Amino acid sequence: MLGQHPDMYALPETNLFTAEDLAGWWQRSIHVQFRMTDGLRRAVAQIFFGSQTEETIRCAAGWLWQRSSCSTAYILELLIDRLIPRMVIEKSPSTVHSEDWLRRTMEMFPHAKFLHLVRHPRGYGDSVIKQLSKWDGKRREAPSWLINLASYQKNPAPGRALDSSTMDPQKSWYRLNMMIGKFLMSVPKKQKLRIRGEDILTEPDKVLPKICAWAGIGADKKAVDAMKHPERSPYAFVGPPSAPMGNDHLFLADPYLRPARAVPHLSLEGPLVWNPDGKGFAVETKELARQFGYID
Amino acid sequence: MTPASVRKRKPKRDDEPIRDLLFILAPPRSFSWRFCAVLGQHPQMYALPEMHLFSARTVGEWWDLCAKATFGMADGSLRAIAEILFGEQTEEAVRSASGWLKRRTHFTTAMVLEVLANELRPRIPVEKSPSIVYSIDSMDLAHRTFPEAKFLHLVRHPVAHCDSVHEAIDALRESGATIEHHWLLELANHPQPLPSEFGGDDARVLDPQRGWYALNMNICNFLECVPRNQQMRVKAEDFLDAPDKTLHGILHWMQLSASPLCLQKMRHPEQSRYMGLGPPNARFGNDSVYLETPSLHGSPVTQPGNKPVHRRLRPEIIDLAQKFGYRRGLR
Repeated sequence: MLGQHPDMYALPETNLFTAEDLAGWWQRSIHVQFRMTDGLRRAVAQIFFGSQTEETIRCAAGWLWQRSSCSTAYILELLIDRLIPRMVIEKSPSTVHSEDWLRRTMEMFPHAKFLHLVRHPRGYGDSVIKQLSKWDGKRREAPSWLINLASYQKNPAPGRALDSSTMDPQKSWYRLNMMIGKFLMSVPKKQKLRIRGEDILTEPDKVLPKICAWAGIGADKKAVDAMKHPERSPYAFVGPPSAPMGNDHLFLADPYLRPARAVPHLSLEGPLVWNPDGKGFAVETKELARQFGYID
Repeated sequence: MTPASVRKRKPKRDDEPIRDLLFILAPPRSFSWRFCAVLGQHPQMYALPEMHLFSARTVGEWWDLCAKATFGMADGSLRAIAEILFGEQTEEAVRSASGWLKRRTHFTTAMVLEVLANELRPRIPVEKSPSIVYSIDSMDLAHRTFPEAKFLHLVRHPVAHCDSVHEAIDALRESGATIEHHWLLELANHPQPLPSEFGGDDARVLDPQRGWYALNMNICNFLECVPRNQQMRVKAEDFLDAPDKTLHGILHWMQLSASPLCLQKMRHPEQSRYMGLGPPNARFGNDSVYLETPSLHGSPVTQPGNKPVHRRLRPEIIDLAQKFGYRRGLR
């Protein structure tokens, strides 16, 4: 959505901050269980080679391999330079999985702005469980990142998350948001903002101008209307066969703004669908959710 | 991420090699910053602060050295990048400069100097980091990466050098500063003994003439590989006693204008953008003593022979000083 503002540009998930240099980034991509390089290859193809075809994706991969010795932050700088004067938006979920990676963003871009996007822990947990069930229905092993979100184990064994004794997505919700919060304590006040995802979906005309004002860009009706069309992003579709992903597969399958997706008035009290013994949220989860403005 | 936080303006064209660059080679306590600042006020030159770039091959290695240094080694580079690429030396610009350098850990340190030199065109950057003379490899790296650069060897009388080092250490002690790992102490107690000291106990005694000899010999050995027309030696005392005459000689060698207007401007080193302390996150970048007394004749010059010599000069010191043109105050 934000990237549709004429003064902004939303990159797909580049996962750049998970490594210090591009050689390390390529190396890391071999060991992870998701298509880590798709987003950056698509971005480079689009920004430097003008389109996202099999051919330009190959050119992008070559361009990136040529720059293996470069720091990952320098690669992002090259993209930013190319997109001047638009403000570039980076949103790789991988970044929030490590304090070092979060710290790297600030160290490399000391004046960058950070938007902490939060979601109700119940909506988050239900979504994680729903995705896991889909994999289970297909009788296929879920990817480790999803298992990790569901169980938040350091080294999850395949399939273990489906064991109800270990499955509790509130743990990843709590720990990842706590890690972001801790990191943001080192960020100057004017460079950070927290927004509830549900508010963007249900009240875009109210929330989007607030984000624009904080980012220091205009929020006229034309700009806000444009932001309500995320489907117009050059990354809002499945990419060519060699780089199909680069964003959440649910978004790629249906990139339109649908306010109905936000379930209103979720409660912090009551049993959790993934918890067979009828237990609700832990005290610390509820406390953090309240800090984010989720009230009972 | 806003483009402004990445760079304030697009880089200038960089397809022309950097031909004009001046390195001042001098051991610490040789008036090198004063000298550099004077040259930098010439309309065709630009004095950089102490960047210590050639102590490392890449920016990544350079950051590692900065983390271990016992002084603000990164300050000069941060101030220069803040000033040249981000237009000012504020805390915010220094943060931008830090990010700019952190994103370039894969750059060679020479590439950083090249970026700055390109931005400064047509002015000639003047680089004078004392750390470069501690290693012939560092000077070789500078020469290899900028093969057409000029090298100016700034020398000082050995007795005045020794007195100056002792005075600076005394002043540090009086100020209550911790000097255990201070670079001044290392300079006064250079680990490399003089040839005439081998086999004796003298190497354990605090003696700045050892550093004077080792560092000047490093420079002399390095300069043997540099074409004659790209090197020059200047005595700091000549520069301080007769600045116009000395500057004329340097400008002639550099093939730059020596008009009265140029010389007039060079009398005001205090107008350098790096004079005085920097913002809190990059305080130094030059001789901290001179930062507080920024004028051409702002601090007293120790004349050879005016102060008691702590130890007799060794024969090799006398030989080398004579080679530099010193005749008085050596015995």
